[in-house]
Amino acid sequence: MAYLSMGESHRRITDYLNRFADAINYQDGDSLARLFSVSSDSPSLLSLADALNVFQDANRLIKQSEKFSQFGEVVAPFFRSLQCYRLGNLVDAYGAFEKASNAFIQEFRNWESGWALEALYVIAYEIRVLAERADRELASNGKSPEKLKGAGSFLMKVFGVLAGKGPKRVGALYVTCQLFKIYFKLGTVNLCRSVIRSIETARIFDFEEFPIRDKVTYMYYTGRLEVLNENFPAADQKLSYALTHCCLSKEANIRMILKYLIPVKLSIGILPKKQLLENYDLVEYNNIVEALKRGDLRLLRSALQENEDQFLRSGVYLVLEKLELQVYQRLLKKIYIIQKQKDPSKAHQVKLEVIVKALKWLEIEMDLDEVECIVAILIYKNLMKGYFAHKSKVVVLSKQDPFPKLNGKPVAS
Amino acid sequence: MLGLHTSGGYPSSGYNNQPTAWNNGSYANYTSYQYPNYTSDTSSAYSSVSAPATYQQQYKQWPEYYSQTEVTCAPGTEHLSAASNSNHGSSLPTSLPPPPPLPPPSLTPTWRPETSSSELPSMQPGGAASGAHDNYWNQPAPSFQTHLAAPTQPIYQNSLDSKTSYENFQELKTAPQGLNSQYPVVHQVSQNYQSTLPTVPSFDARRVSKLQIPTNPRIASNAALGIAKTEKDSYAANSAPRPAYISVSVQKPNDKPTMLPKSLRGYVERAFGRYKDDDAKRAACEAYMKDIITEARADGTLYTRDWDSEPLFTVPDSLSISKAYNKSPVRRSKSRWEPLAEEKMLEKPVSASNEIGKYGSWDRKTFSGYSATKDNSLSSFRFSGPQQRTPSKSAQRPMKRQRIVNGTGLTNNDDDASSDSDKEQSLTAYYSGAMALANNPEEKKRRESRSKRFDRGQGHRPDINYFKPKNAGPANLYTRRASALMLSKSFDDSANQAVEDIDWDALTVKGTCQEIEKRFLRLTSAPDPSTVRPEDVLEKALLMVQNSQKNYLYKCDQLKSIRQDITVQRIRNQLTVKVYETHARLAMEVGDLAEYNQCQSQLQILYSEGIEGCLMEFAAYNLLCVILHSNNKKDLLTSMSRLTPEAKEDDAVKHALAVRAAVTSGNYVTFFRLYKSAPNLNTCLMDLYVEKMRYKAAVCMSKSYRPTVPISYIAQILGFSNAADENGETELSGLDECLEWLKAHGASLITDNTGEMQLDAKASSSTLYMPEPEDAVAHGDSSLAVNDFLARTT
Repeated sequence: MAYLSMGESHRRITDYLNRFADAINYQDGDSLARLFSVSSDSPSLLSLADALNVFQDANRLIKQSEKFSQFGEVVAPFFRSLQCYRLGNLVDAYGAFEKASNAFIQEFRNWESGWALEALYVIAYEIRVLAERADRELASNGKSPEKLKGAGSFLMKVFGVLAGKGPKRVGALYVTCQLFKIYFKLGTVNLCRSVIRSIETARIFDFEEFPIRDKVTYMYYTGRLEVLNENFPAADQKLSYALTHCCLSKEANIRMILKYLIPVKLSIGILPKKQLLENYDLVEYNNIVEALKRGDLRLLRSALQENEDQFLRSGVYLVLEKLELQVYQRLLKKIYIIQKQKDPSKAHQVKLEVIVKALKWLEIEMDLDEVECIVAILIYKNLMKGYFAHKSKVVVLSKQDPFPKLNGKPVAS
Repeated sequence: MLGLHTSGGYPSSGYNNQPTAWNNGSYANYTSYQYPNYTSDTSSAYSSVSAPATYQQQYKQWPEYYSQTEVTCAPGTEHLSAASNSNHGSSLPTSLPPPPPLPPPSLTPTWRPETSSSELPSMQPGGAASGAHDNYWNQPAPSFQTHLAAPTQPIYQNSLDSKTSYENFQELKTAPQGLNSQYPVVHQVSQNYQSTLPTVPSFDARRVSKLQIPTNPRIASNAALGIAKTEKDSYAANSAPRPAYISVSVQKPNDKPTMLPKSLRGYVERAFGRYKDDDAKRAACEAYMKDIITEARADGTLYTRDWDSEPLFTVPDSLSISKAYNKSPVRRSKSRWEPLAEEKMLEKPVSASNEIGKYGSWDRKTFSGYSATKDNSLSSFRFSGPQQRTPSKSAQRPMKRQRIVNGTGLTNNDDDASSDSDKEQSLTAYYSGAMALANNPEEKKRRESRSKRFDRGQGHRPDINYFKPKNAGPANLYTRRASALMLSKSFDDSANQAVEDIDWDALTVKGTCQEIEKRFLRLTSAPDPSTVRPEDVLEKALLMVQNSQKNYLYKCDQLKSIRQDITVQRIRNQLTVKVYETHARLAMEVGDLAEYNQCQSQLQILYSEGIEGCLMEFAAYNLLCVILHSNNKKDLLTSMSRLTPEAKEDDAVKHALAVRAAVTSGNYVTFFRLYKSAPNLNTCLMDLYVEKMRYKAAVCMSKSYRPTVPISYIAQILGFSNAADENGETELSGLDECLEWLKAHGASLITDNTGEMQLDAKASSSTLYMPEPEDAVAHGDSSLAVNDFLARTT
């Protein structure tokens, strides 16, 4: 670090304090927001951090003047946080930042209008990001990472501040989204429920009033929750909303949405074009789509195994695994079609042996009982119309539409 | 205490060391010693209220003070810290009091100059005499020094003094001894020594034996060191049996009979018992009580009155306004931008400590002496007690004097009484002593983070009672545990943060019980080491359970008690794993899922700590459990993604994964095949799912099969076995069993022309139902139905 004189440091600190005071006096939310964004690594904040490290007694500066001392509760811990952040001590940086945020929230609560929402957004974001980094630091020191959890409860408090009537409620969804990110990261998604309830049942929230950015994020996360619950129609609706409203230039976001939307669509029988998968670099789904088209059970299984870790982590594994039945359906349909070409009069009777043989060609060893069970399940789940005659070991297919399409409806459970 | 055997010089040097111990930041140690005094003997019910019982504790405290002193500051450091402290003080010259009174006669004149010159060289700006130093550095925290400057508040400063235990003795102070009323602390202190020391040996035989040490003061200080050590060593041994001194009657410092009659203690307890939950009333009650005892003492009926039949007084409700008063001094600044963080930081611990002192202190007067009007930074103090409404400091002084003049009768009483408050004030002492360190920057930082835990409670709920010492002490608390208990209790909702500050290692119980068999009893208090089994005994106990022929209920009970002993001793090794594994297996065998889940979650933590065990086996169980019994997709995904590649190769895990696939796809054929080939106890967990799976299969078949399905096929597919059971009697054949099952579930059966039983699929598809389980109980958990449970497990 280049040498920094005491005077220069002093100047930088007072400059910051002046800007802070001005932002509050003129109710300039955007400027205030910039003053809080620790992790943005903006040059002005970094130089301030250096100044703070040179000029150790910043608190005296704050206390000196009436103009600054009123912000002492916010600025003093914020300075400490910035200092720690600059020195790479993220745990303390988080702690001090939470303290500063707490003081800010107290003040924010008293303001009638929502002019400072932008600043609040930045604080909510920083809280989460700093907590994540602090946890990484804690984990690397062999300590239990718990800051993100703390950030969760802090943001819950912030949500409480916003979730009332009045102009500030439009900020509630942003905080909700930050909370979702925390809960998904921590794997405590069940905690989302209470927030969702207050967003979706409270009459004071008209969902369409929220900023579009937050709506998309919200729909993305709630859609993911529905995927976990295997509630495909709801997941489809939410994720589709997110996709249609997502800014087209944000390819990464679109990709994230598609990552969940594609398995959902597959589950309700809608296959994506290959082009789409390639455009958004979702090639891991290529083979799965192909397996569904061909009725190739082996391909499906290998595709699942290949990307098992990835699918497990993103949480779509179980959804994709269920596609197996659709692959069986496709396979039987193919057999049916071939039989029809040979002898249309006997086409609707499929012998169990034939199916076993077909599976054998796919190098899948299954005995009669197992295949019989699969067939029974296919009929039971309405993927196939007809019945199974146990005595003769024959599937008797309905003459009318023996393999009904899902057409956007999920497989019956 | 030591003074009995030593010359007059000794105690004073001991005393002088003591504040340095405070200043040295050693209070972390202190907690473990200080608190015990506080709760340890709070034995049965609320006996801490009754003076004589706690009286002993007060004495007990002394050696610990000494040991504290000796142990925590190395000879060199004490000077250092004292010096730093004094530096701080000198920046506030007004706080230095004018020259002190003459040293009390009993103190040898030599020590004072010595100590002051050696330990506090820098702090004598005006060449103030030694007494001034004492007075001066009794006030370790800077914020207190401002009060020192106002010498009219000696009482207050005393109450916040780190050595608040001395405070009990301030009433002992008698006018003649050249007393300058402005510096009572100095005198009290010296006086304390004179008066308390002679009595000590009579009530703690153990300690006394160690104290039979040469009287040379220099050697004696070494002796104190020895005590500190031996005390630690013999701690467990000491506390396991009831300490001897409990039953020994204590002599009053001034040789007055001080032991309150037992019946009076009972009376006091009864009186307080009524106000367990109402602190304001309790405070009022204390005042009443004191008056009554004083009165009784004055007219000589203290020992003759029949306290057992004495009617209890009632505390008028009006007195509980003191509660309302509690709230008033809380400062709320007009703008929240205003108060500075720094200021707050100092303020908080203080007010917290004051709050501690507030409860249960008999000697309310010492507190009430200070009025909240005085200083801004201290204005958040809350006082309770009848006298707190005397707002001006001048009001106190006459009162104070009066007490002094009142003579021994009264002081005795107060002394008794305050021994209780003593314990609380040792907490006060803890905090105020700690505050002295706030000067030190790094200390400051730590302190600040710690003080945060007071933030919530202090800020929003001013009159919350964090410390409820009287409720805290059921009988035979093990002292160190008790202190932990106190800590965690006192910090209430912020317990998590407080917990990290506790030195758990120092608090861990070491069991001494040698019995192998022990019934499980949920702990309602800190564990008593005499009932806790050490590790080697626990190993025997585990073996005993494993080889036992008794039923599951017995084994479960035994294992739970083993688990408890392991937990309280914080044993985390292979034995721990073995115990949990054993219990988990046993629980699985009888289908006790609740107990199994407890064990499983513990095991996962233990395995993750790297302790060896049957990791794969239990990973498989865990998977099965999640799939079959919790049906939580998220949990399943996490469990699956955590499996290592090696784990996926393990037979048990493979089996579990296969079961999972069968269940999610509803493949009943595979499921029952896996059921038959299950390794380990996987079968046991699957057992619990069989009924569901069979029902699903039956529904599925009835819908997809036409016209009929032979029962023999169903029996084969759905795992109805022909196997004979353990007794050798052949039970129903698989076919019959299947028949029974289908009938019970409403299936419609027909016989075809070859005489074979068939399931009429079409008819059954609308009639199948899940019957209420036969062993259903009202509360929904059949395993809780004791009779049935006994039948199954015996």
